[in-house]
Amino acid sequence: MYRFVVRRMLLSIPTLLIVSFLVFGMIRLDPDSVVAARLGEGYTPEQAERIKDEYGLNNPIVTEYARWMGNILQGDWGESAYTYRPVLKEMGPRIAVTLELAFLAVMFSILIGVPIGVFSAMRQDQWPDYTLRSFSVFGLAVPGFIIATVFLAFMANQFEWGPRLGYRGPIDDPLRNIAQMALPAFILAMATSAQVMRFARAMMLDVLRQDYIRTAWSKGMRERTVIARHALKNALLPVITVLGLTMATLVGGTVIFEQIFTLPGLGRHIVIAVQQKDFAVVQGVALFFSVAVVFINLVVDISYTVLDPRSRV
Amino acid sequence: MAEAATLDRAELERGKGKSAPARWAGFFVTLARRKPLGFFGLCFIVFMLIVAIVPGVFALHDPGTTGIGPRLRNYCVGPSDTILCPVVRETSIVTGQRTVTGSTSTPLGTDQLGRDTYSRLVHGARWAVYIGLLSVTLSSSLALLIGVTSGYFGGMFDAVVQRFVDAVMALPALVLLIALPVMIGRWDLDGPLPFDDSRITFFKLALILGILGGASGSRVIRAAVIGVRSSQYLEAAKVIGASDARIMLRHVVPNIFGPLMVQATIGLGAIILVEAAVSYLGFGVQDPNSPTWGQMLNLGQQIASTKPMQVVFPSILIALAVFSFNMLGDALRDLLDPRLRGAKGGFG
Repeated sequence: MYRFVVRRMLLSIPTLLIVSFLVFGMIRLDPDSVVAARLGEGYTPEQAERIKDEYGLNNPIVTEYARWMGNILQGDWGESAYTYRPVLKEMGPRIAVTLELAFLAVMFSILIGVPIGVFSAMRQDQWPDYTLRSFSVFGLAVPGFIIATVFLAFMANQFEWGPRLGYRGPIDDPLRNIAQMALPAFILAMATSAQVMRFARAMMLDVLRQDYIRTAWSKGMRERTVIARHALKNALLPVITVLGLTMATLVGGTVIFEQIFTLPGLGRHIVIAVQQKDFAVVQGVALFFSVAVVFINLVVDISYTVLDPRSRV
Repeated sequence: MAEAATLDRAELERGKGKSAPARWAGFFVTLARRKPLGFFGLCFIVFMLIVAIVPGVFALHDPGTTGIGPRLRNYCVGPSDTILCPVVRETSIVTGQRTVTGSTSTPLGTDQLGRDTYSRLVHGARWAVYIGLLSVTLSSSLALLIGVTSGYFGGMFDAVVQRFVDAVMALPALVLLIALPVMIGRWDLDGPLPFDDSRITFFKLALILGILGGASGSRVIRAAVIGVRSSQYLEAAKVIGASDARIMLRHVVPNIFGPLMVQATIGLGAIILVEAAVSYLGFGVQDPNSPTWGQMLNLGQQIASTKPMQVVFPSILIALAVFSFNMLGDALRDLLDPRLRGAKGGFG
């Protein structure tokens, strides 16, 4: 197991390097557009050269990458072309918002998906199973941002209600913070919870057919005991992998949900940065998101090995 | 489930030896009987294709003509790009002639500029099909190229390629789709292609979607190739001295056709969804005369407080399209390759 963990951690190093190189390379795809974004229309060639020098666009890509990577590791993620503040400082408070949204969404998808999946498996091929499975098909088919938009349109039209402007942090106003975050997190979690539900159901069905469950039944145990004491433990472990796979979707989801619900997170930050052509910020957020995904995948793989003795062979 | 799978296989086997049209017909009958939801998806996709090829037959008006219905003047108190902006009911002032929603001329009502929603939806199918087909062609070719070589050669080559695939899959797709077209913005000003702006954005989006989809698709293809790599017919081909290229093209590729089709179908659903999300955020294809569904959603939510149905109609179509491709993909997976079956007891 130890060897696997080390091997898995080492494997993510080249991935991280390639990811950072791709994010770094984004800005070099079209140097002219970088210059145009900084200077607007009608600049002289000398001005263009100065901007290119400033961004290091005239130097070889390898040395520039090494320099950029060194700066990133030292905490210098560049400077916003719009506010002239360090990118990392700009991102700091926004990371918390996005993390809270993603964390709540994961919580919701476990809280909704797992019990429904388990219950659905217990009543396999009876009407509760069919009803719940139809809901999961709906959750998978209808994209979250469409549910959110239609829901808000309905609320605005019928009750003249909309999400409140002005984000409050969880520390200075916990109640209002939860009131603001719960709805987007819940809708964001719908698709994920449908996936979790399908997977939990499949795993549960698998476990329920095993011998030790039949033994438990034949000992005359109540259904509650059989499910809670014996079946759940083995059925729920693999659900972790699904959660890991959906994290990448959640990252994309936060971008659009922060926009719909005007939450000042990283996703909204990057949308605004793209509108302002603030490329250093775009690179910073993209790098953060991709490193987060690599890291989550690593944690999921490792925790799965640690938790499930069968996978250690 | 196991019995059902063998039955499916048996029904497919029975089709062997018949003429090609008869085999196809047999396949569709099997699809309709075993996977009704998948068949529904296929029907909707075919309908969407027909609408995309001849939108003029279905549309009642030109999608760009304004003033068919009443115009709404919209003004906002909040930040203009937020959902909060349009919520206040009184700020939407109706001017011009009022047309009753549900009239024969505009069955689904009109948007804020008085353009016919129904005709715009019909023309929107065009963009969805265009962007879907172009990106999926790109991503499938890329997935095939990477997946087959990586799975077939294995070893060091595989390890290196897979790290690249890992890296591309870790990149946030939505972020790239909104950022990259702006970052490579100069391409449309003095580029070699004589197209207008929306076409250029379209090609950029399709290119990015193709590359991202190709990376994740190559994983599935690679797994399928590894599955057939140790089979005897490959060994036989090697023994009689066939080259690697020949083995890959003549023996490996035909045998992973099923997973490739499944991947492409499910990929199409994802592409339509992501494209809608990008347009919704205001970064997609922006052609006032021929809207995308995501763009209609974006326009619709600006007038959601007075005309909520303008949000609902494009939403239904996007959801239906995504649903159809997913269901058809699932059905194909179950029919073409029982080994690849995902979670047990899935619908459709």
